Amino acid sequence: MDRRLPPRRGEWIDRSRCVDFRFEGLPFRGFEGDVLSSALWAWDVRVLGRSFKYHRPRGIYSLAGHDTNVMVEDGRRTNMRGDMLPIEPGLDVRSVNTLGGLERDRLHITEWFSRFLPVGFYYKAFHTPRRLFPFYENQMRKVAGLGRINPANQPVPSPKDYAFCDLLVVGTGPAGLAGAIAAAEQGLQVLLVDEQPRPGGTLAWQWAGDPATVPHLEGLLERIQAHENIQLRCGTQAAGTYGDCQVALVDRRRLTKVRAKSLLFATGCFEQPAVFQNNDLPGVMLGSAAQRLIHLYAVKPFDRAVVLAANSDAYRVALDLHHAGVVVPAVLDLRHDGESTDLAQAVADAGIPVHKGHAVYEVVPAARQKRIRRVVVCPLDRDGNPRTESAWCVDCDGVAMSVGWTPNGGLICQAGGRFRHVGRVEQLVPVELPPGLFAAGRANGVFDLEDQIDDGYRAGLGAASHVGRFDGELPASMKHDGPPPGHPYPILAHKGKKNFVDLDEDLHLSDFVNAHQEGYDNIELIKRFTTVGMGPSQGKHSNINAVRILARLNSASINDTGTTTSRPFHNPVPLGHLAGRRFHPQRRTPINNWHVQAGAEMVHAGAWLRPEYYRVERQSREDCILSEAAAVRSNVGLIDVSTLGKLQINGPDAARFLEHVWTGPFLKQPTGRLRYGLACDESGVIIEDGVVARLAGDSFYVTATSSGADAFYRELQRWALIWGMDVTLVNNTGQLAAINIAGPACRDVLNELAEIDLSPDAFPYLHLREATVAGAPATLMRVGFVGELGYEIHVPASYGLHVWTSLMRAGQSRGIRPCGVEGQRLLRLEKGHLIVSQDTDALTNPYEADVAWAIGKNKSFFVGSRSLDIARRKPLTRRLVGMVFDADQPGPIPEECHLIISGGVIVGRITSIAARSTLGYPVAMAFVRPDLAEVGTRLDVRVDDGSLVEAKIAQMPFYDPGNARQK
Amino acid sequence: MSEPAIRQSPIKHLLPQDGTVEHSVGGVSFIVRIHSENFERRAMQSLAICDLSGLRTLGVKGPDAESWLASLGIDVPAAIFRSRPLPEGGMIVRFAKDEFFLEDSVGNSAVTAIAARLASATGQVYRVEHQEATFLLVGSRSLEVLAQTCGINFRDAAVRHVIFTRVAGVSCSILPETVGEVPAYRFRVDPGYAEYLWERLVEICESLDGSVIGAGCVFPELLQ
Repeated sequence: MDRRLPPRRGEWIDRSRCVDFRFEGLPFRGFEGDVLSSALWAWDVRVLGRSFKYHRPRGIYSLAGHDTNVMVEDGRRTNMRGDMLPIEPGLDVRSVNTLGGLERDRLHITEWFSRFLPVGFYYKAFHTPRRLFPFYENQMRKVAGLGRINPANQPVPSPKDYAFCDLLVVGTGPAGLAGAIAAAEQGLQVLLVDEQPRPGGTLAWQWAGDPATVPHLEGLLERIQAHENIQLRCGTQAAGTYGDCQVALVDRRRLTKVRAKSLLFATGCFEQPAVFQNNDLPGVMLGSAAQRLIHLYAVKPFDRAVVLAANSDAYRVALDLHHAGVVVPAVLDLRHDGESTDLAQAVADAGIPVHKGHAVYEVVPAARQKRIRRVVVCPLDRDGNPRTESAWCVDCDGVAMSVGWTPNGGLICQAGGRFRHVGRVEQLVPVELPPGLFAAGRANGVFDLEDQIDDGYRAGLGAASHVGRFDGELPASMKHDGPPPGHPYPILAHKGKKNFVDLDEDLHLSDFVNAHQEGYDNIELIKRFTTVGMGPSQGKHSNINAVRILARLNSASINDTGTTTSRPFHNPVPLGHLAGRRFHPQRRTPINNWHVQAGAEMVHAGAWLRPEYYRVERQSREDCILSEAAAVRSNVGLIDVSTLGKLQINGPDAARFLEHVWTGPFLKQPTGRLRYGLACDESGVIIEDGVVARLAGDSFYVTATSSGADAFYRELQRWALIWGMDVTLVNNTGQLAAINIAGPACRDVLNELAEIDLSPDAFPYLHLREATVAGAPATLMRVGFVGELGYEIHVPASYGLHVWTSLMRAGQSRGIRPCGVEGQRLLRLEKGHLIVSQDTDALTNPYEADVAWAIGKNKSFFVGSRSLDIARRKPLTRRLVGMVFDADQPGPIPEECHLIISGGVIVGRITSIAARSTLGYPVAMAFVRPDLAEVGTRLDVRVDDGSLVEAKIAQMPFYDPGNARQK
Repeated sequence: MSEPAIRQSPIKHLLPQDGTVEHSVGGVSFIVRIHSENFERRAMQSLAICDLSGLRTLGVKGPDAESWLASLGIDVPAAIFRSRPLPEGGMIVRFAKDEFFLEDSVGNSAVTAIAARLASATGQVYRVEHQEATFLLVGSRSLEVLAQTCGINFRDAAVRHVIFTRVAGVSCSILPETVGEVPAYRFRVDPGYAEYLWERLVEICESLDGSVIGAGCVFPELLQ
């Protein structure tokens, strides 16, 4: 660790804890608290990654979490940023996006062809011939890209949680700390977060040679830690802001959705690079990165470094480098007037030469571009152009740039804040903030340390005032006083075309000039064409320079040029965090576990899990389904119909309400009787069907389809409110279990358990009785959905399993079998009973579905009646009919939704089909053109392989047309 | 023909079966102890969950529901979502202007008696079936489980004030209460979603070092 500096107060590393790790297969040792980049730099490893497009070597650039060319993977996780990844014992990582390793990345040859690969060449070169595009795309993705996902990796569920506070403060620099303290002192519950592992922001690393900075920070932190209203979460980034002060926080383990009453963004600024030739090589870094290396990780950034300056911070960098033992042969100040503060004298006192009106024109690399050999320096004319004829060289191994800042304002924009460029700070400053949103510190254009603290305090009080905890006078907003902390155009043209503007995407200055020449003269257009700001750092170091370049090309101001739109997420977020824990609710009947134990193949039916059929050894699925149906036809079967909607309608207006909602007549329905109920929407489309039972004069019990019950219940509530009827509605769907026992022997089985006379005279078809079954209170309904003698038994859910098992036990001697949902569907198809939403669609009316008989003849009104009155007078365009196929049909049997063809024209589609039935031949329901609906008409059905299968229109029901069996 | 009807919690099969202590109340069997008493007591202080499904419940709804309940001498909560204890144990909760929910405690059958009288009630008073599963999340870390499953800030929630919300994507009601000095949250969920919700809550509890415990910690009378 030959670049490690002596211990210093405030450093983040713990020298008592060594950490061994591997990078690119080689062993290294660092300290706990190091990130990967700092630990490697301490070993003088300069090449930490390769660039996205040209695979140029890259090193530390920002050390602020935005070094997206230094991405690594460990076989399990990928695209981890080296400047954010803490080293830990056993860490073994490799650089992403290389071929043959980082040192000898063979894809580096793409740079040789860089002059043929300007922006937009993909769009122009590879769109023809179209058939080759997949090949091109595949090859391009291999050479230009990021890490690879390991599909074999088993992810660990990542929790997502909610947090609540009065004020969320993002950023723990001086302004954030002061704001949190001010708000907490007014009684607000404050959540204070920072993406860095330790608090302090710039106070932690921008010393300017003044060791008193550390005690200053420690004093603030002591107040934070002592205050019970403040919760501090470091290593937590605010990744996105949403409406109503909601913010997504992301840490290593989880995503937290914060609902705050107010927000304070003290997010600071991103330091912005200058643009000059080879400004991307390892050894060229932002001044703040060099300061972070020195103060946070105690690593000497360079041995001999040039400082490129355009603000006071650059002079602080020079002083910090000097104090860290780095030789600073020159400070090159882009400004002709140089630095006007006391820092200039401090630098001069340190013996560092300052060259005003000078710039780094070019960095000259050592062999294979892995280090800097020297820089070429040019004086600048009054327009900022380099005077190359007067160029001279300085030998060095590093360049630290400090030429300007841009606010970390993405979160503020997402929350509805608006920025404008302000000349006195040469940066964007928030000018409009929605209520409850506050900005402070550098993000607010305030740079002086004491001013930042005051600004934070002001914002904290503002938040307290917003939530009603402070009613005093708020201090005035702070304004920057002094030389601008940014340069208006730190960008130098160079014929070498390696003066990079966007390091994420390897975009250089001429790419923008070319794009502008092609007509992309709007910031949003040029972003899409060049992809500037679309890389993993989302333009944190490129967007403002891109705006400056475009503004100059358009001869416009920065405010007229505008900026791109900031959207969540502000920083890269692991997809696993977004997925979170699996929350996919699944509804199960009270008998579900019995089905599973009995070998049922479970199937998803809407929100419900239902037994599709019960597996029998050495029987196919189709055999199992057919044998279950046959058991019902010949003997007795038990079907779990707990998923049915079960609604209660009570009150003096109950019958009138039913008359209004359902198509049939119910006013005179006798107590204890059942009727078929069909409901439509206002346009006359069928939305529900079921059984309507009258329990008493003012009480009805209604069943609805399994998948539509909840929506239908909401519809009933809506109508009850609109009509102002005196009804009380209850949705009992989940509260009751329902069991259908059906088949010729079902009465015998039920007789053993039901304390009621089940004889046909005492309990006729389409009647309802209250009784106990196996000791449980039950409602029994005689229905015939499957076309056999049958009873639906509705019991409280907690009794469901008991009643089911009791029935199975009682029916054992009669060969009772459970029947799954597929068997039930087959049985009802044989009876010609439609299923709403399977045999009907979003346009089907009762006339088309052949259930117009369910419409009351003398009713003046029901929902959809007016539409149906119109539909009745119009010719039908389709009709639901029965179809049969030959029993010995060769080839494939059609499936649901297969098209019906006549004369080469589509004339309908199959809605339900059973390839095998208890009748011995396939049966189906289908919509066909009315002129082809005559019984006996032969039609063709096109199956998947394109062949045609002959079918014949048949009368429904296919089974027991006289309905004798169910009665 | 008649046999004793057995009621069952919808998640009974998900609870440990071996080495547990069961106790039957009102036709439903509660698992009252799963681990040792000391372990369960400790778990309850930190984070634990238990199944209380099966207590007798009754829903009463209709314009005359409030006056009918009052006529039985029940102290009806005036505000919606507020609960009150019943004189003999259990509780009454006001769900809406005209809807109430009553639940027995262990060892009393007040609700059963009220249900019997409902059959002969006059006026617009209707019975509403309540078969929801009931889980009790208990312990000082309960809020961490709620934070991972629900968007409501329960830190500010009033005790015995029912909150209707979604937990892990499922609609349910939550009643904040205390067991001794320990914060607890009583979840009531449609029995169809009980298995799903139980699995999610247990998964999260266990990730936070919580445990499934028996109902005896909450209702010591079950252990007697």
